[in-house]
Amino acid sequence: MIAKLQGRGDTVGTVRAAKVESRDQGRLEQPIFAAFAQQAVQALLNPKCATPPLPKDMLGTPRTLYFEF
Amino acid sequence: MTRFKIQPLSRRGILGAGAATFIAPRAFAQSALGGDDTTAAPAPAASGGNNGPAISVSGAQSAPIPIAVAPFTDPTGNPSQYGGQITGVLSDDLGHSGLFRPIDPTSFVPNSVANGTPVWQNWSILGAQALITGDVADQGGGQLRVEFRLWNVAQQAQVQGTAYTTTVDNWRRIAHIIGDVVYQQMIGEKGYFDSRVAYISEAGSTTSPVKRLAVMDYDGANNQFLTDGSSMALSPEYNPARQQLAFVSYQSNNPRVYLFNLQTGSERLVGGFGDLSIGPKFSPDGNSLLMSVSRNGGAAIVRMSADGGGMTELTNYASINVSPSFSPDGSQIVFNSDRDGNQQLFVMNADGSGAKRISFGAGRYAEPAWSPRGDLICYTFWGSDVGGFSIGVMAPDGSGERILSQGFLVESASFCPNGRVIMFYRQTPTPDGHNSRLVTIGIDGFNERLVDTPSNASDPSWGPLLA
Repeated sequence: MIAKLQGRGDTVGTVRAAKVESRDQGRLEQPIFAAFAQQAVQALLNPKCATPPLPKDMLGTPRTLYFEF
Repeated sequence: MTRFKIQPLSRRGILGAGAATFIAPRAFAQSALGGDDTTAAPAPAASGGNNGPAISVSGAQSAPIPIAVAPFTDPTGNPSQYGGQITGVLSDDLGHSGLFRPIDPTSFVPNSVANGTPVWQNWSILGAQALITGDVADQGGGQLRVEFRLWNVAQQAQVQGTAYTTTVDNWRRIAHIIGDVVYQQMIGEKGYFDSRVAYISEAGSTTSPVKRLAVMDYDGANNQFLTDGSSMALSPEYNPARQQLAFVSYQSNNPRVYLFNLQTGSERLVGGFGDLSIGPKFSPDGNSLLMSVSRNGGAAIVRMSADGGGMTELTNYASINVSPSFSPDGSQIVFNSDRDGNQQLFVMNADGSGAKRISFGAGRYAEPAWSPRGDLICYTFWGSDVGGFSIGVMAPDGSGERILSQGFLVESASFCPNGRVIMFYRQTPTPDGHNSRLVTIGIDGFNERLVDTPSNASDPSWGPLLA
């Protein structure tokens, strides 16, 4: 199972907001996918995991980040 | 640990972001989804929206969800007797499932729910991913109103809020029902807490045991004996759709299948043919009953109406065919047979055609049961190279055999309503005879737990969800 998420990263790459990407919104009607996607959003917002190791050229400005869990 | 990988997706992505393939070092922190990543599997190619690079997160393993169950109070916020009891059962349900980790309530910050709304930072610092709050109002006349709310701590939002009204003596069921609601919201599939188990209670001496039919809540509470022990009872089976059990009784000094009406307490013989009848199993719709009937040294699997009429033989009597179990869609039946020389598992169509062997291990297979999810068949196995007995699971085609538990004697596995947990019984020898206890275990082989019963117990049959 793969969930596509979209997050808002700040200047140091920390994800400050996250949601299921529009392409996967329709799958949220499936309870198991919804639970899986919710856990993925939780993981992105977890302080331990909210700052992925982005390349330096992706830092410095807030940007939209895309994830696949 | 979770592995991150960024993949460039398109020419625009490469030119726009200058992204290059990047794999995070192992020092990266554990995610809420992840445990330690012991695999080195490469992340799959990722595609982000709007042609941007996507970060692929792979190798995560699930860990129990940290959940805080705040003590249920009365509507004014004061401690409540039933509130405390409901909180305890609810925490036990979630924790014992192995999928949740209730946070120690002694670590809760006082006054962390203000005017019905959580003080979010007080729950965040505990690491809670979810929070349950609730209150219990005594409405008089033996009635309780129980209200609960499920909160997502990270998103600071209510996920679910429901109120129940019930009689005072039903407070445990409300706790189980709330647990099932939380389970479904967080895991995505139905829970199993609001269910009952039929089993055989055993007391008395080893040489003259008194074996009675009994039912209890899945966690061992609310035990009720259904027969008086004057005749030995064995092999209970819950009807998934009716208030009815089938079981084997020696009332006529011969094992025969009887029906027990849970509402009236009446019993009725339905297996009165052949030399003996054993191993009753209902169809998923509760309208049919399978059993094994012995005749002339062999045993055939027969199907009849759950009301006791219209018997059809599904196998012949040329070998010993016993322990049938329907697939959850009712189209197939798994059973064990010695037609190939020793006890092995077979799957046939519900009309008895197309029997195909699915087990090939060096040992004997018995007592198969088909998971309500349809994905697994559990069984009892005895193999000389294993030593003792085992409870195992396999796919319906016989592949993926896994042993879940072993022991001197482990038998009679039964799936819970959502197919995630199995209950069986474990017998161990003692100086005075033996000890026989009911045990639950996850289908992943973890989280084995004893079920508390008043005396020795065996032959569990896990019934359907009550609500």
